[in-house]
Amino acid sequence: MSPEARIKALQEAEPGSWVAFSQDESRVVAHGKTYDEAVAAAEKTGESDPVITRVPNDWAARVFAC
Amino acid sequence: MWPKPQAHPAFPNEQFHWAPIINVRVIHKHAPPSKSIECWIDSGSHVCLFHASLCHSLGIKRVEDGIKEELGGIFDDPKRPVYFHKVKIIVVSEQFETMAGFSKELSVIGILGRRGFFQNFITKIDSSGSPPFIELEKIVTH
Repeated sequence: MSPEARIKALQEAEPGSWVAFSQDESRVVAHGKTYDEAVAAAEKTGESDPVITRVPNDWAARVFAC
Repeated sequence: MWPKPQAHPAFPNEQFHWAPIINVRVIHKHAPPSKSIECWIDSGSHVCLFHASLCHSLGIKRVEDGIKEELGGIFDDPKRPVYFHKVKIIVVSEQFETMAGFSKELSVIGILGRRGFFQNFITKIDSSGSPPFIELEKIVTH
């Protein structure tokens, strides 16, 4: 998946949702409102080992630190 | 790669952020490992943190059963509760055990911080090129 395609896929996903990519991260295979939903939806498509990420509630720039 | 909220007047030529993200798996006790999850490497965080949505699949029945700590960020936002559970984190073919915090309010799926991750990996982030790259070297202790 090109950087542009990845960016587009993440921006189009519902805020706060979970996105499942194929194992090789070449395509989006499923979405879910939770981690479990995204994994289950990915498995339904035949992708047994997806890569999961979470879409933030907004795309504000963030500085992580604790 | 990570989307930018909008065109930034300070960085007008950037179309997106490059972020130091790697895929890891998490194990809790005898439950199967999580799927690969995209985590941010963050030397500013003193611990590893994960979104509490992972808990069910990891066999953690109640995130609140963990050891509670109130964590804040670099701004004066209200502190948020984080609950620590002992997990193993798998990075490529290596794994380490650590107390990781779980929170329902984490904006991303996971953060790899100093305790646990940086104790086990020398981490090189080279942002000078395009694309940037991350190099990890497992620290061998005797």
